[in-house]
Amino acid sequence: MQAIILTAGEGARLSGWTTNRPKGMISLGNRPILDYLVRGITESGIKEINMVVGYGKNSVMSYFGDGTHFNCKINYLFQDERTGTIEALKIGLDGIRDEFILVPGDNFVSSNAFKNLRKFGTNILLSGQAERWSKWGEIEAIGGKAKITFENPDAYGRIHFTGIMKINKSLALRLIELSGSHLGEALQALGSEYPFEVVKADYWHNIVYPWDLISGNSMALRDNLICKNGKIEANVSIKGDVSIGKGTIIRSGTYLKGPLSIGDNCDIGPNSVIGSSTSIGDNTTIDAFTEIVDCIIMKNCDIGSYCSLKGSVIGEDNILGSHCIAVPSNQNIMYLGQEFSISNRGAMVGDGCRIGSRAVLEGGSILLSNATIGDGEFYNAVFQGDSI
Amino acid sequence: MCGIVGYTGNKQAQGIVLESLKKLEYRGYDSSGIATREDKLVICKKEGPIVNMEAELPKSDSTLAIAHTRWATHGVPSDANAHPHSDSENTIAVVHNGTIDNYLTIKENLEKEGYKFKSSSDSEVLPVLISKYYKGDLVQALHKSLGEIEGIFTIAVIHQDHPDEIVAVRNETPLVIGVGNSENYLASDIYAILKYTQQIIYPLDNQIIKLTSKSIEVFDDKLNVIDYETEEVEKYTEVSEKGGFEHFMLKEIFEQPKALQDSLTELLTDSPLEKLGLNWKIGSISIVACGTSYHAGLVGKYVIEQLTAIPVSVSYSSEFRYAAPVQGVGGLLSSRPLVVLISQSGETADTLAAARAARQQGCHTIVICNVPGSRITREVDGVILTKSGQEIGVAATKTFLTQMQALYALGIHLGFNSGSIDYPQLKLWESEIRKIPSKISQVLNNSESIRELASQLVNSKSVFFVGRNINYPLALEGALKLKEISYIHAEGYPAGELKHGPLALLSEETPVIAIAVQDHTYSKIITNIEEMSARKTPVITIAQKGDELAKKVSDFCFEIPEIDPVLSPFPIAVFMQLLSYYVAHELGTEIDRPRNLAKSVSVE
Repeated sequence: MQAIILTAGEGARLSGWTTNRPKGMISLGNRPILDYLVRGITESGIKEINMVVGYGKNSVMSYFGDGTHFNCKINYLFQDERTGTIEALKIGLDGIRDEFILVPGDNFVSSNAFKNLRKFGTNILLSGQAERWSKWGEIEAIGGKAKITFENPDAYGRIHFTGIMKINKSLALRLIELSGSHLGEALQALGSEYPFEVVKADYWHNIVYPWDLISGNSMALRDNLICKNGKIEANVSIKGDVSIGKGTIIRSGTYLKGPLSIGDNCDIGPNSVIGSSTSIGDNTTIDAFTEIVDCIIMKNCDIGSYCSLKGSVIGEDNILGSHCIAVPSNQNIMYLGQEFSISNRGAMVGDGCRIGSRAVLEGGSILLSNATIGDGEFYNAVFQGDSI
Repeated sequence: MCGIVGYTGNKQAQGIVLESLKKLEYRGYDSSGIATREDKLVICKKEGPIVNMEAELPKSDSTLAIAHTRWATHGVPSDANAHPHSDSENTIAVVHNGTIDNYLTIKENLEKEGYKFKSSSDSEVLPVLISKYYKGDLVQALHKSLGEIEGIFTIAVIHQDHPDEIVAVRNETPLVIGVGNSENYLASDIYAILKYTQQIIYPLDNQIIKLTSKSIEVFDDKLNVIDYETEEVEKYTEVSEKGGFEHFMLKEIFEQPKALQDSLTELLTDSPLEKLGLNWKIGSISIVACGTSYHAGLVGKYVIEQLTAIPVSVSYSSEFRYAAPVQGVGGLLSSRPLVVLISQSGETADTLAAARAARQQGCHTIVICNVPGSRITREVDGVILTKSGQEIGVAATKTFLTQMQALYALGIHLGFNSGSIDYPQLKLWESEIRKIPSKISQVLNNSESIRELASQLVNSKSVFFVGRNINYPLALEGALKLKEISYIHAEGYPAGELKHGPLALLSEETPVIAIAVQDHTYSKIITNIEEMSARKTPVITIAQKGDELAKKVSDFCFEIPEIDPVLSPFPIAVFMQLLSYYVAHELGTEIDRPRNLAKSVSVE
């Protein structure tokens, strides 16, 4: 069996974090979302993956190479124009022999979902419990027929289609024949006539908006690959599943609480508190007396001393002065022309921002890439930085 | 240069050596060949890349094979001059890497004795000589032959009466032995056999190795059996395919953020000075290297001098080794000179010789090298290992950046150690160095606009690169990259030297690439650009983000991300690499294998 991963899209709703890469290359739990997918697919026994790349393709190709390091063979196919998922499927079918698993690259899904998909026969749709409405639609299996609906936008906790499915080549060609550019709609049209089985994933998260990153991260840390390669000084307390990358120094008096993943070449402490449910990317320095809980701190950040960051996303290459505060609160915000009710989220800071000392970022506020917040400023959900 | 592999064991040998050989093809691609033993020896060899030979390979059940890929030194590339070579009866097959300096004398003597030769290669004297001395024991025959030959070599020999045996020896050129389970391997490069085994023996010069499927014996130069040590090396999953990229060079250019990141670990966590044995007052530093590594060394000079106030000189290995003792270094023993050697492969003949010369003169030697366990790492006082992974494209890319990174790290630690920079500055520098991978990613993401600029150069007969201060070496590197893969004549100059000659060559048809970063030389380079523009020379300027003046004075402008000018060589190097790549791509040259060039220059 083979697999096709679709990862050519830009991910405009996460544009603060996708200037240099497609959405699938955003790290959760210190590994790109695509990394989890590829590992899940290969662990299920599939050894050949067609990856449809486009936006930021070089970052994907450099990360996965020919697949040798992931114990599979990866073929790259190029979708340079953004022409939708049906077109991507058409491109991805090159070299597909018969049965395959189709995976949109922005899904975060439990890795044994792929094993389950392999177990059953052909024509299977993978479903999962949704945090909220998803573009793939709600799914119900009525009398052996899958029914996909898009009507109910208030779908918290309902069972949704994940976009992941196992089909064969002839069905794929049938999907392509149906008009439209979106796979979900094509399936909806087809669902009533084809006998699809529906299999539910243990956990699933569709990463679409900035606030999805935090919940995705804590989900990802369930698959935390524990390794302790760094240098840990005396009087460091470590509780729970903590992974520390090579070249990292944890300085004296620091308290680390798992699940927590710290990348390579970081310099943390002394006397900092990190975790739980936190990822710290490679090459990040965190100065003394800073507390970071329930956060994603991406690569190459400098976080000053006495900061308090909770439930927040800090993108790559950020510099935060000392005494910066970003803690969760509830807020209604306008994002891309839509109103969202954000609950229990800290700040979401895009790549390459500069945040001065004593700045306060209110919970639920979003900074796009390359924004600057001056010393002592208060920032509240008004977008700054490079436009969407 | 040239690659050798050998296998004896219980599996079909031909496929194994063929696959290993392909990993060495970057070392030479003039011709290739494989010798196997069926009922008698069968040799298949062919001019051109390995695929030419592969197409003609006969089916084989042999469990013994030696193979070779050649970069021509003596004799043109041809089927006859390809290895393996054999004697006139085809009882012995030999592969050889290196040169036999006195082969003409040996050949004349053998011809007088009635022996026949089939090629013009120096290597052919080896099988003839060995067969002359062969009395049933291959080790003894090789030992006797060694008494007559002069030169540098790695030799592997098989004989039709020994279905299970390979005998090998090295002198100055690389050879590694891989220990397997009921099978053994040999290769001129560890990467060729790492797929099969991690148990490696590094033989010393002139030790004769006898491999059979079940045993390994090592003989010293008096043919006494001696003990040997097996080392376990890190597992390395080789990536032989281009993974979506059109060329290895492009793949390697895009791998640079990762290469820098991987190499960082050893450089910053703890001060590496103790490990390098550098906890003493250094009076002067000499950096010695060839080619692209030399340019990395020149950048290192500017950085280390700025950070440590210790005088640094940079020399070509081929010049340093023959220069008068302690050239450019010197001084009292209490402030011993430090010699920093840079070699990607760790096998570069000239750099190796320079290391020996430096040690003889009492210098402390350290090497910046990318291949663990390579020869030079065994002969110097300290090693900084860059972790770029295998570089297959002949034009050096990722190793250049990791070499520069190692020199920056060395400079910071030496500066801190000598008191020229204080602790906050050290931390600041470390933080800046950690950010380089993301800075160069921004250039990589701009590759399309570099591609457009490249089209400005494709029709040029000659291109000049100019820069000042720390970016002068980048002008040299830019010119080197362009000429080696696109074959367009290119020269790098310090911008201030333009008036002293090269200005005479500039015209509307001779574009100039100028590097203008905002350091203390900025206003001067802007003046230089205006001088050139006044002569209607098209100028492509590399400037920092938001530099309106540079945009105004030049015809085209490429912006690198905001970065301290001292660290600007990193993004600029990436620009130069991509520019050359796209020029060569448009011209349709063999980018991964430029004509006449090969990697790991293990001959002088």
